[in-house]
Formats: sequence, C-alpha cells, structure tokens
Amino acid sequence: MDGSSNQILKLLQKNSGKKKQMQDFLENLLDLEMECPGWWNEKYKALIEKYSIMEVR
Amino acid sequence: MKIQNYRQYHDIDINFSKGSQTDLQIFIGKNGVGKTNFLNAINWCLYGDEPHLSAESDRQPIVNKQTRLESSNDEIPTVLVEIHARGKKNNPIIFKREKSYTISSDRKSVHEHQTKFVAIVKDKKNNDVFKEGEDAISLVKQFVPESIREYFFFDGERLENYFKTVTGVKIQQEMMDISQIGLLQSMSERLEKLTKEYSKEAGRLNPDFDKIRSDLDSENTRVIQLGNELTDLDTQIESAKRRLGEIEVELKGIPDVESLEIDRDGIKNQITKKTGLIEAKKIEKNDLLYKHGISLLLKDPLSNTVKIIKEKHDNGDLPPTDDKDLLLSTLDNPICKVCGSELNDKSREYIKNILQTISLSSKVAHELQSMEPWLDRYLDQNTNYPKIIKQLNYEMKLIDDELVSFNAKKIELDQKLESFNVDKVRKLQRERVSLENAKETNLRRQGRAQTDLETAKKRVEGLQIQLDKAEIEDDRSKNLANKSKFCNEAIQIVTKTKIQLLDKIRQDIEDETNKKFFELIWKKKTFKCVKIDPNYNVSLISVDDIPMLGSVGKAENELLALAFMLALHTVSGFDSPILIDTPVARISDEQRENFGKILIEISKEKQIILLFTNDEYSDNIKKIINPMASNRYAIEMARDEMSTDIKVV
Repeated sequence: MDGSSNQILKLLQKNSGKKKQMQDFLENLLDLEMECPGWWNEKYKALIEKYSIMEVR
Repeated sequence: MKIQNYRQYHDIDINFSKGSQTDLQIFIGKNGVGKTNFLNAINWCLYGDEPHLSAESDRQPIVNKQTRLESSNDEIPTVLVEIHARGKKNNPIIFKREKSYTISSDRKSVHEHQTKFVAIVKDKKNNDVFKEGEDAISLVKQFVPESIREYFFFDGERLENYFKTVTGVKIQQEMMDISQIGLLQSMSERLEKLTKEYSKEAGRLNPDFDKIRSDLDSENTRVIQLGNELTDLDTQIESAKRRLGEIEVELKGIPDVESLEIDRDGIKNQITKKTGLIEAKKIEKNDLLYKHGISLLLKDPLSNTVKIIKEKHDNGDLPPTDDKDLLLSTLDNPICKVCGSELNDKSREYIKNILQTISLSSKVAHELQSMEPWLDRYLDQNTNYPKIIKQLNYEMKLIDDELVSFNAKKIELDQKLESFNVDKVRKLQRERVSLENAKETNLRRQGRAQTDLETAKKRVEGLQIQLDKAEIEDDRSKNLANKSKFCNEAIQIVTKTKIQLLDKIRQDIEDETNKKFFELIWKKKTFKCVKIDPNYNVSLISVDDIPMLGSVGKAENELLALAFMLALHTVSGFDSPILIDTPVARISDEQRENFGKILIEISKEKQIILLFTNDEYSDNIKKIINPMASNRYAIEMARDEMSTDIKVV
C-alpha cells in the first residue's frame, strides 16, 4: 500500500469513530478496490453480510 | 528500452544510464525521423495505444517498413517494445508488449496475428516472475496509471496550453485521479448500488416500499442533477471571474474606449451643428449689411435733407400757402381766376411781389413732404444698426468660442484613443460586459439551484426515514434494512473522507506547487504565490496581489504548469520519469536558457527524457544542457528512409 492509500485508510478509520466493525469493513473494501477486483458484487456482499451482522450484535 | 520493428525503429536498444549529477536524457532529431513515435512507443508498450500518432504515421502500418519489405511471405514479424524500469522499493521491473503481424503480399498493410503483454519482476530469490493479464496491468498502474499518464509522457504543447484549457473542475478530477480518491469513489458507487439492491429486495416484501423507493430514487436523481448543475454553474462563474480578473489586469488604467468614442461622436455632431449655425449667422450679417448699406452710405445727405425740410417747416415754406404756378399763369393771362375781370397794373405788380416771396414750387414742396417719412425711417434704421450688429457679433463670438472648445475636446479624445489599441480594448471591454452579464445570470441561477437542492435534500431525508420505517415493519426485511443502513453509514463515511482528502490534497498540491515554482523561477521579485482556491482554480499572484496568470509570458506559464505537474507527482507518490516531446519549441530563444536550467534542476531529483528538434535545440539551450546531460542521442533516419537509428553523441 503506498503513501496515499495509507492516508485514505487512516482517514476512513478516523471518520468511522469507535466502530471497529466499520473500520475493518472499510479497510477490507479499500484492499478490495486496490486489487481491482472482478466479482466485486459477491465480495462486497460477503463483507456486508459479515460486518453488518457483527454491528447488530 | 528495446524497440524492434516498431514504426521507424527497426532494432534499437537504449541504456538510459544516470549521470553523476543528473538523470537527463536528451534526444535530438529532425522533424519526421520518429521522435514523437518514441513517445508513442512508450504508450504502446504500457497501455497498448498510440495517442500522439501523426496523420502521416497513422497512414503507415505499425510494422517497420524495412521489416515489411524484407520479410518473406510466410514470415510473421513481431513488433516489440520493452521498458526496463524500477518499480516499488526500487525493484527492477520489465514491461514488454509484443504483437505479431502477417504482411500483405504488396507489403503495404499488416494484420494483427497475436498479442502479448507481460510484466517481469524478480522474486525473493531473484528469479524472473512473469505477470500477465490483470496482474501485469496492475503493475503498470503502480508505475504510471493510464489515467494520469498525460502528466508523465506529454508534448510540450500541453505545458503551453495547460492553464488555458484546464478548468477548476478538470483539476479537481485530475487530483482525484492522481491521489487514488477514485478508490473511494468506486467504493461509494458500489455501496450505493448494493443499498438500492437491498432496498428493492425489501420492497418486494413490503407493498408501500416500491413507491417510496421510486420517489427516493427520482429525488436522489434530482439531487445529483442539481449538484451537477451547481458544479457547472460554479465552473462557469469561476471561469468568468478568472477571465474578468485577467481582463481587469489588461485594461488597468485604460478608460472605457466605447464611451470615449460615443463622446467623440457627440462632439463631432456638435462641431457640425455649431459650424452650420455660425455660417447662418454670417449670412444674416451680410443681409443686414446689404439692407442698411444705402442708408449708411447716404447718412449725411439724408440728414441734411431732413434738416432742410425741417427748416422749410420752421420758415413756413412747408406746407405751401400759395400756388406759384397759378400766379405765373395769371400773369401770362391777366384775368382774375376768381371774378374773371381783367387785372390792372397794380394787381399784376402785386402778384409779381408775391411771386418773389415764394421760394418753392408746389411740386417741390409736395415732393419734400412725401419723402419726409421715408427719410425719417431710413435715419431710424441707422440709429438701430449698431445695436443689432453688436448683438449679432456677440452671438457669433459665443458660437465660435463653443466651436474652439469642442475642437480642443475632439483633439484630446483623438489623441487619447490613438494611444490605445482601440480594437483590442473595445473587444476586451465588450467581453467584460458580456462576462459580467453571464456571471450575474449564473449567480441567480446558482441561487435558485441551491434552494432547489436544499429542498430536494430535505425530501430525500424524509423519504429515507419513511423507507427505513417501511423496511423495519417487515421482519423478513429487517435483515435487509440492517444491511442497507450499514451501507448508508459506510457511504457517509466514505463521502466525508473523500471531501477531506480532496481538500488536503488541494492544500498539499498548492504547497508543493509553490515550493517548486519558487525554487525554479528566475524572476525572484515579481510573484508572491500560487493559489489553488476551494474550486481548484489555479492563480498566480504578483507581489502587488494582482492575479497574473493571463498576462505572464509563455516561459513563466509553462514553468507554472510544470511546477503544478511536479507537485501532482510528489503528492501522488508516483515518481516515474517524465518524457517531454519538444519541450521548449514554443518558448523564445532568450527564455530557453532559463527553462533549460529548470529542466536540469528537476533532473537532479528524477529522470527526465527530452525530445528536441534540431532547430529547437538552439545555442542558448545547448550551452546549458550539454555539460549537464547524462546522455545525448541523435535520432537519424537511414538514407533509404526505411528505418531510424538512435546513436549516442
């Protein structure tokens, strides 16, 4: 991850506040985007499923 | 770089070795030998296209002419471009594109046969690892992403026109491209798509849902449209403001020539009118002189005559009491005209005595009496003449004074107008009026659009609340609602991050552009700073706080564009080489020296490849660059014009 991606991640985490699930979720999404994903729909859905449930709990 | 069978290049190998102080690679060649196709070769290798192809090159097949003519019928020649570079952590990386082509029998056209693009990296044991497809493209993205290649490999013309053609919105887009904010944009778009999908799914479980969803969608579309409209208006307003600023600088101290011209036309009309008036007065004066001429010339005889008549009156000669003619006829025929008796001597003597006392004949007396009123009138006229002529002369003097003043004003205006390039000033002043009007109209439209946007946003909020409620009403949709809510939260965080990042990057690029520009500029006391405003409009401010972007010379303008691009490089974290085709062709000879020094300075930090024409590489820049260049290459076409060779000078 280069300098500017690190900067993006730091800001995303800061803006997520204390919501750890949201921080992890957005970090995962950023990684996904940097890999230029195919099948993004499924990968996104899987992450949403995982982290939205964790958020409810 | 290795180039085989690509356009003018039959087979060349170039080693861009670094110099002790600089990494400055100089190529010099005549027009048409293949300089720009060297730039195209890099683009073709990395991105598979040739964005700078000339019309002449476009007509020619990609396969080198010599190769086409010399290959046998069953041969399938390969076009190859290989770039050996340094990737992350300075690790070596090779980008290699090769395409094979079948050649037509007349050797004039080619057909693509097979294509291959690989990136070769080293593993931990220093073995070559071949990356293909998406993996290879991903490595190109880490070297120079396609979306920002224009900042690394470009024609010098791009520098010259950079701030003429690039608006704040475009710069914002460029900052997004270069800073990977695109990643956030993509995240946000994908999350929005999924949120809609979840909501639709929930809608199938709740009958009201579709209606609310559809309303929300159309309201969201309206928010986007209004947002776009506002961005467009903002761009237009900012562009008008910037141009108005430039015009203001150009017109500083110059009066409104159009109103001066109107004034001058008004004065011309007055001059014509007053000249006509003075001519009319002259005629009036002539008529007056003509009318009074006789009485004035005969003033003395007339006065004498009147005097005589007066005396005759005083003497009692006028009016006459005796008829002289009757008395004379009575003497000739001495019969009394009253009683008819003959006159005696005494009576005749008496008549003779009367005749001696009568000085005027009746006829003369009548004549004198009848001329008396005429003479009086003539003399009266003479009495009024000095007053009338004085008044007329006074009026003529007033008009003449006005005429002198108007003529002086006209000369003053003529001189004023002659001192400006009236056509240019008029054009600029008209443009200013038109821009002011457009700006005012757009500001009004902006106000309306902002109000509409606020209303639409409120409606979106309301509908979103309704939608959330509708989702929660159904147990089965709870899970979907939860996901949708989670996504919406994530979208808000991503959007906030995007805005913060853009602002930070704008600030970083402004700082970096200032740093580069003032490190490199040769005029140390002319400029104060470079500003990038919140709408991403770039302005160059003079020490007197005047925006100068529109009025600086080509060299300063190109330097600012270069400083801005270098700032983009630094902030983006991409430290790839810069290649500029014809870097100083548009800069005057005396400024080439300054620009040459700048390019040397930059080459101390990063690799610069410059492609010059022979004319462009004039003595001014040659004497600066030659001692500092890491390598100099001559691009020369073979005598048979079938290939081009690159030789180290």
